[in-house]
This record gives sequence, structure tokens and C-alpha cells, in this order.
Amino acid sequence: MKDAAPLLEVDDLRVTFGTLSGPVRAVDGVSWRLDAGRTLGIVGESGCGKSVTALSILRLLRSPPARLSGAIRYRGDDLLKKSERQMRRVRGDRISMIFQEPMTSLNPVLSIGRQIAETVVLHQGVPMREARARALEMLRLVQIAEPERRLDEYPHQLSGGMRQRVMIALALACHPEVLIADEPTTALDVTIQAQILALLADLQARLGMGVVLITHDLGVVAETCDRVVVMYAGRKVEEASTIDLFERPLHPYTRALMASMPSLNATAARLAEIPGMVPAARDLGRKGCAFAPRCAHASARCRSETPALDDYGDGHVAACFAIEAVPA
Amino acid sequence: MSTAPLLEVRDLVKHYARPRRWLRRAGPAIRAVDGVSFALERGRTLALVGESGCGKTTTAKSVLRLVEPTSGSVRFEGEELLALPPARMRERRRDLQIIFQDPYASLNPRLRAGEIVAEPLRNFPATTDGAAARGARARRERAAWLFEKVGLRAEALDRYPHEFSGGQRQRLGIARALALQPKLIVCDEPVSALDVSVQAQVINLLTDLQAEFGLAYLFVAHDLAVVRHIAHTVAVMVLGQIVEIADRDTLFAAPRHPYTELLLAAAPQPDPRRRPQRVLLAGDPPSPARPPSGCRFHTRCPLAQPVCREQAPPLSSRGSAEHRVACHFR
Amino acid sequence: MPDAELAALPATHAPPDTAAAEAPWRAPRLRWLRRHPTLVLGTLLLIAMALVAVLAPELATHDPQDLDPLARLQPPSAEHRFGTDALGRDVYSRALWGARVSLTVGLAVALLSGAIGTLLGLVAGFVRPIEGLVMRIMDGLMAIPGILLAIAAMAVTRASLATVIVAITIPEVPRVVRLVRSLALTLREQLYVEAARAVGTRLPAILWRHVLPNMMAPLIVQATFVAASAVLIEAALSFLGVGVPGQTPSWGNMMAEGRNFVAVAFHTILYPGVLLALTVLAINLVGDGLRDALDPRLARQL
Repeated sequence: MKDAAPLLEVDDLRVTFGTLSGPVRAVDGVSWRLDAGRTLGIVGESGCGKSVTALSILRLLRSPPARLSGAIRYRGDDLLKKSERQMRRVRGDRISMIFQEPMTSLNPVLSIGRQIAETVVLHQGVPMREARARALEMLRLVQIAEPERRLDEYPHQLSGGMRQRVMIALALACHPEVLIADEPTTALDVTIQAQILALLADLQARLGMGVVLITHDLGVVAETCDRVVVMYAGRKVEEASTIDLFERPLHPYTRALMASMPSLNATAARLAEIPGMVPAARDLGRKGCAFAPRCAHASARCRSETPALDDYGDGHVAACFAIEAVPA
Repeated sequence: MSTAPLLEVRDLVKHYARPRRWLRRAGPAIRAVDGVSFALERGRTLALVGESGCGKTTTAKSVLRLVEPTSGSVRFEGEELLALPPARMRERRRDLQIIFQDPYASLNPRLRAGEIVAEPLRNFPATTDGAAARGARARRERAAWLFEKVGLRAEALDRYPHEFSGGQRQRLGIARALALQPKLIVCDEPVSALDVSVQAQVINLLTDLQAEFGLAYLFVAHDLAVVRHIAHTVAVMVLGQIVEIADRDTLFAAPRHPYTELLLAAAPQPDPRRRPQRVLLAGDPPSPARPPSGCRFHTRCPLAQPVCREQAPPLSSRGSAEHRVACHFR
Repeated sequence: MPDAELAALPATHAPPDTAAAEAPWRAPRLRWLRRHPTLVLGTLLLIAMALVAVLAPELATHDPQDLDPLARLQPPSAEHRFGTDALGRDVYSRALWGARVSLTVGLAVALLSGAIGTLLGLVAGFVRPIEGLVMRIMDGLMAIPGILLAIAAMAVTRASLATVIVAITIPEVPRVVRLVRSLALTLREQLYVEAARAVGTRLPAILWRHVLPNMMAPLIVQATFVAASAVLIEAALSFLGVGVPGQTPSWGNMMAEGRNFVAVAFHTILYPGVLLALTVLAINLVGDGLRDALDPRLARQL
């Protein structure tokens, strides 16, 4: 299973920001791999470092405040060692990204066709006419109605769902091998979200891409991802195949998260709360389990020692000292 | 026990006129709310659900007259709110409060938390039944009491909003809404902007407060799971109209309107074994400025027939009197 | 976009939270000062000028009105640090006293135009029916060059410090009104203003408690630029002879008198000119520095 070389591999990534009150360890030693044709979900709440991880892959963080260490290998090639020029060739062409807010990610003064074509021209050096044809083809691929007309329209003339499709078209124009989707449907209505997720699944099957899907919504993860990484306070606390994660969540945070979500199918009198809050930024990266202050099963060991990721079979890992103690 | 509902809304309409441009005719008005009727009992929660542009927030704010309705009737405790002169309406606001969606923008960054929560008390110093808080010291005490009720520490009274997390700010908003001991609180997507683990805290807080103070909630939401948890009655809205209204269990167990079914099916659920074989809604929602003729949903409805384009189905009872659906076929 | 996450990294020692700190005064003092050199420099310079103005009686070596025709147009010497002017008066002492006029005018005009402009701007922003009228009047005023307007105003009254202040205020008001009105229009839509309405706050209280405090930062910055402009206009008025009465030394009228003697006694223009330039520079530096320091987005630096 792990024999094939991964398409994308993050290896002990650490990202620290220099701030007025000292360094902030936004990502603290995170590792995972993505295989071609698969979808990896990264799940966590605000401040967990999932977006920072994604931006690090494409080196989109400004490097003086941010300091990165570790390795991010795309087909074995370490992206963190590349120059800016080399990275520019990777972005949009080999690895692409889509963001949460399609309105602010699209240039409001350029037509859509122009924006998509521009990427193609830049990366593949074809003349504009051919790039426009490719843009049209992309709009069809993302199932936008009347694509010829849309080519010359501007972002503000489209609805939120359509803009997100345009973003996807833009990201996929050069047929990248990896797509990073950072909360792509959070700002959309639930029916549009369903359409976009179906579209992404369809495109992935057709183009054979690897997809990294970042979200806070466990429901989205359940429906679209093959494997899931759960992050908390800058660290990976659990990883498993999706089915395994939902059937047998091991880490207390994962379990607490699932228990606190209101469900469509059952009603409880009270939702199981997780007391307290996520740690403050300056407390990230400390020794000891970051979730210990809020964990019902925390012990003294949890507070003083940082748990490492242990393997629980079938590629299911979790970082916790108390797993045996947690009732199944 | 008297069963007159606390709030009775009838044929509420809100149209936004398009500004007239030079040498051009004004575009069609945006029909944000187009004939909405419902009732809310004391101590109960009615949820308004729907997607963006359906008019749920506008409806809720119209009930409070934070947005002035174009026409219709809003009776609160039997009194017609839309006919009240401004001074009298202001008095009435003591019973009608609101919690906003955005915990960051709804608090004045230059005021301390205690001042924000005590502002309603400043506006109405002479309140009835023991809620009187005249003078700064009395207000401060009352603010401290409110803080405790919503789970904040009294030491935080002098902090500024930016020193609180999103969940805590939302608690501040709740404390502010409680200050005047209202009977009805409009909750405008109060947990959408919060992290999942914090959502549970705030939802529990809202249910506890409802039990303790007998509050009625008009709960606007797009997240059906949250609605499932907190609502007693649910109204589903499309383009300014209610298409289905029923008590919570009935709506989730046996929805009748095609849109409700699609909405329920589209919501992602944390069950990886479930195959999302949904009948997906095609295309994008129509604009509230140009709603489709006849049934507002017919352009996206899998059951649409010619009659749907010609005639708008009325919201009428099916099965029980409380379950009403606007569809020709269901 | 990681805005939420990056913004969640606080810049202060606030208690555990995920919101960005917006108050620069909570940051460690010294580092904050170092990050705002413009502001620090401008403030120091301005304080120096203010001290000069306040301590003019003590610092002056001669009575500014003291005539000594025998010692006219002397170059700088030990006795007369900046030399003497056409009437034999000590330039140094007159320059010091001139600081009083300039700074007083600058401050007074800034405050007066700020107050009037804010009032009118709030009215224009919140009272729909009057908005049109107010703004058209302001547009009319802005169409006339400020100096001409001030000159015209001075023409109809007796010259004195007070009338000069009023005359200069008139052309400065429209700029403030425009700014306040546009701020009012934005702030009117803020959610916390809607929340205040929901809890029954009346309009005057909304303006006082919610709108005004959130306008202060841009207003203060604008006030500094008004002050700088006022100082220059006052100098121009005095230069033209329609400013403060001739006896009171003002940098403007000193330069006017010295204009005729540029070739032989440049010092009569040089010193008042340099002091004027320094003062205006100081005020502008303070304004720029404040604008950068008070801009919440910039303050959220990593």
C-alpha cells in the first residue's frame, strides 16, 4: 500500500512566525502523504494550522515573518529548497490551490476568460487564442452554463457558486497533478456545496489528480475524502482512512469533536461540549499535549510530555497517552 | 392557559426598491420577503431556514422593525407593532431583542465589555419587576450578573472586545440581549461564525437560557443540524416565501416539499458509508429581483410541471393543521 | 486564505484568545516607538516648537517691539543672534514670539474646524433631508481657493488674532465635513450601530457613544493636516498684510517686511522662513506618523 511513491509528501513541517510577542509555532512537526488519485482531508478548527500548512506547500507565506523547516516533497523533489522562480513554475501548473472566498480570489477588473487564459499562456507558452479555447474547455469542464458568454463576463456578474467553479477552472487550466482546496465550500449554500463537491470528485476521477481538502466540516470529510488528518494547535493528532476514523475515532479531541456536532438524525437534550478554548497562539508548540487542558482523560504525563503518533493498525495513527483508557 | 401566540406574523412583505438612475427606468424591486406568515408561542423556538437570498434574515429583522417592512402585520402580545409610533416602538424593544451572526462586528471595539452589555440598561433605567438598574453601580452589578449567566467571568467586565475569542464575544452578545429581560430573541445565525467545538457551548447556553427564562427564539439558520437540535417548529423559505412549515420532528422525518427534501439530502453528514446519491439541484438560485412566475421553486424542482409555472401553490395544511406545504403535488 | 489564522496570532499579552490586538499602546513601549520614527520625530520637533512659543518671554533677549533704528539690518551677532530687521528690532526675539502666533493659529483652527466640521458632517451623514443642502454649500466653499476666502473674510472685519483664526477656519471646514460625512456613512452601516438601535439607543447617544469614538483616528490625522495648512495660510495672510496686526510679530509679516532687503539682509527672511518650514514639517510628520500608527491594519503587523 505504501510502496508507490507518494505524489506529495509533507515531512516534519514546522512553520514559525515572528511576532511582536515572540515566535509563534503555527505548525509543529506535521507529516503526511498524498497519493495520486486520492483525496486527503485535513480537518481542524481555527488556529490548528491547516491553512498555514496548505500555504506552505506552495510557499505562499511571506518568508521573513514565516520560517519553515522540514521538507515538502512533490514527486520526491523538495519544494522548500526551490527558488522563487522555480516555485512559480510549480504553482498553477503542477500544484494548484483554490480558496474559500472566490470573490476576493478573482481579479474584479479582468474578465474570466482572460484570467484563465493568462494562466495557460504563462505556464504553457501558447498564444492567446489557443489559451482562450482552453479556457472555454475548462468552463465546460466545470459545468458552467453558456460558457461562451461567460468568457467575457466579470466576477461580479456571477453568483458565488459560479465563481467557485471559475476558481476551479482557473486552478485546473494547466491540468495540475495536485489540487489543494482550502475550505472551498464553506462560504457557499449547502445545495451549491453539494454541487461543487460532486464536481470536484468528478474532476478528480477524470484527471487523476491528488486532492488535499482542508475543512472544518466533518460531514464534508466523510463524503469526499479517502484519508483524514486531524489537526489541533499546529500538530497532527490523528490520521486514518475516513471509514476508520468515523468508526473508531481514537484521539479524545476527535471523539469530542464528533460528539459535539449536532446531528441531522438524532436529537440529544444537550450537546456534548468541549470545555475551554483552543490554546492561544503564544502557547503553541509547548511541551505536553496541546489538548490536555480540555481533555477529560488528561494525566500529569499528558501535560509534561508531548505524545508521539502511535500506530494502531491499518495506517491509523493517533498521538495520545490515554487511548487505552478511553472507552471504545 | 391562554394560547394566544406571543408573536403572530401575517403576510409580511419587504421590497427593496432599486435606485433610479439617470435616464434609465428603475429595475424591478428586490422582493426579499414576499408574503410570510407564521406564529410563535411563548418559550418556543421557530427556525427559519433557507439558503442565501431566501429572505430569512430580512424577515427576522422586519419583525423587530430593524428593517421597515413594506406591508403586512406583526402582532406581538396582541399589539400591532407596525402601527406603533417610534417612541412607543422603542419601548417595545425591551421585549424584542436580537443576537447577531457576526461576533466581531456586532460589538463596538471602543467600548468595554461591561459597558456594551449595560447599554440597554442605560437606555431604559426605569424598568419593571426588579430589573431596575439606575446608576452606574447598579448597572455594573447587573452586568456582572449577566456575565455569570452566560458563562463569562466578572473580571472580564473591563476588557475590550478584541480581548475575547469568537465564542466569548457571542456570549457577550447574548448577555446584551438578555439585559432587558426580553420575551423574544431573534437569533440571526448565532453560531455560523463559530468553531464547531464552540458552537456546542453556545447552543447549549441558548437552550439553557430558554428553559430558565421562558424565552421565545426566532432562530435564523442555514445549518439544518443545528436547527434539528434547537427548534420546535421549522419554516423553510425560498425566495421570500415559506414553502413548508411543520414541527421539527415531522419536518425531518417526513418532509413533503421537494426543496426541503433536497436541502436535507444535500447536507453533508459525518457518515462515510452513506453514498451521497443525491438528486442535485441544477444551476444557481434565481435572483430575488426576478423571481420565477408561479411557484418560486419550479425552475430547480425535479417535479416541475406546466402548472407550477403558471400558478403559485398556496401554503396549505397537509395531514395535521400544523404541517403546511406550498406545492401542487405534495 | 489564512487571514483568520494569521489574524489569530496576537501581538500582545492579552489573555487566551484568537482575536488580533488592535491597540498599539498595549505593545511594549520602546519597540513601538522604534517602529514609528516619523511620529516620534515629528512629535519631538513639535514639542520643541511649542516650548519655544510658550517660553518666548523667557527665551527672548530683547523686547520684540523695541525699535532701534540705529542698529537696523545688522547681521547676526552676539547681541542679536539672528540680526536686526529694517526697524532695528531683534529678529531672534520676534521669531520666538512669532512662534506663538503660528502655533496658536494652527491649534485653534484645527480645533474649531474640527468641531464645526464634525457637527456638520454628522448632520450630513445622518439627517437625510439636510444632507444635500449642506454638501452643496461645502462644495461651493471648496471651489474658492482657501487663501482668497480667508482674505475676503479678513476684508470685512477688523484684524486680530481671533478674526484671523475664524477667517482661516472657514475654508478648512469643508474638508473636515467631507471626511466626517463619508465616515458617518460607513459607520452608520456597522453592525454594532444596528445593535445599539436594537437595544433602544437614541440617535444622539448612538452618535456620541458609537460613531464619534470610532471616527477619532482619521479625524485626528485630518486635524493635523488642517493645522499645517492653517499655519501656512496665516503666514501668507500676514505676508500680504491682511493677517494679524503689524505690531504682533508673525513669521509671515516678518518675511513681508524683509522682502525688500533680501539682497542686503537675507537673515530677516531666512530665520522666520526656516522656523515656518520646520513647524509645518513637524505637524505633517506627526500627521503621517499618526495615520500609520492608528491604522488598525498596519498595527496588526507580525
